[in-house]
Amino acid sequence: MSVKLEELLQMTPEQILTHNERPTGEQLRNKKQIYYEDVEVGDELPKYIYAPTPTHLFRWSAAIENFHRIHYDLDFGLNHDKNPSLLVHGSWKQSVVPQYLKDWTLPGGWPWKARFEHRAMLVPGDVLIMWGTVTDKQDKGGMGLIDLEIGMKTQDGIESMPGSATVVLPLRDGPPIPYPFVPPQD
Amino acid sequence: MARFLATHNISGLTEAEFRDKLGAYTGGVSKWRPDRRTTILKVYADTAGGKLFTECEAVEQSHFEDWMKMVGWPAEEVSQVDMIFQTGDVWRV
Repeated sequence: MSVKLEELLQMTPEQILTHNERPTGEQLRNKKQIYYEDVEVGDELPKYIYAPTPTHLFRWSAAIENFHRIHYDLDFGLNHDKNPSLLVHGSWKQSVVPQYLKDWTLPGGWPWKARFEHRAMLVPGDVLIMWGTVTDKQDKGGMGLIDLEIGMKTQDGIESMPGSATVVLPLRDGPPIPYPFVPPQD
Repeated sequence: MARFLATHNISGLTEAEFRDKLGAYTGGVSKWRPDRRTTILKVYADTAGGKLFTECEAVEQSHFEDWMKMVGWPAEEVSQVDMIFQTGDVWRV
C-alpha cells in the first residue's frame, strides 16, 4: 500500500528510504494497465525515492558528457562557486520526470506533457521523493486525460521541482492510445 | 557569502555525538546545512585535546552563530577567512 506524501515527510530519512516504490525492470515488463476509470482526483502516484551520492553524480556527468566541475570537484564547487556541496544535476532530475510518468502509464498509456521548475539546490546526502497527485481527469475523444501535480521533495519537505503533467490512459472499453501519440483535438 | 573559521572547547566528545550533531548520515543535510545561507564545510576534531575547528560558509557571522547554538558548540574564537591554500591551489573567498 502506497504511503501518502504527507506521511512520508513525517518519517526519518532512513524510514523514507524503505518506502521506495520504483519498480524493477521485471515488474515493468509485467505491469498491469491502469485505466482511466481506475483513477480518481486526489489519488497519489507511487513514490520514487532517491539518495544520490557523489558516485551517482560522477556517473551522470560522464554519461551525458557534462563536465562542469560543480558536479564532481568539491573544492571547486565550495571555493569558486560557493555552493554548499557537489550539486545534483538539474538534467538528472529532468530525466526522472518522463521515466516516472512513463512507468505509471505503461504499457498502453502515454506521458503527454510535463512542465516543472528547478527551485532548490540538491546535494549528496539529500533523500529525494519523486511524487505525483491527480488533480483532474477528462475523457476526450476516447482518451483518458489525467492531469497531475508533480514534484521532487527533500527529506525536509523542500519542494525542489514543482510542476504539472498530463498523461493519457486508455479507457477500459475504449480504443488503444495511438502510437505514435496524436493529441486529441479541441 | 563569507567564510568563517571557529575554534571551540569541547570536552568528552564521542564519535557518535560528532556524527549525530553533524548529520553524518543519508538525509542529515539539515544538520550541516540548516538553511540556504549557512553551510558547515568541514569540522576538525581533536577529541583528546578537547578542541574543535569548524569551517563555515555563511552570509553573516550571526548565521554561523545560529548553527553553533543549534548544536551546542559555542565558539572560543571566530575568524573571517579571505584566502585558502589547499594542495596546490589558492582560492580567494
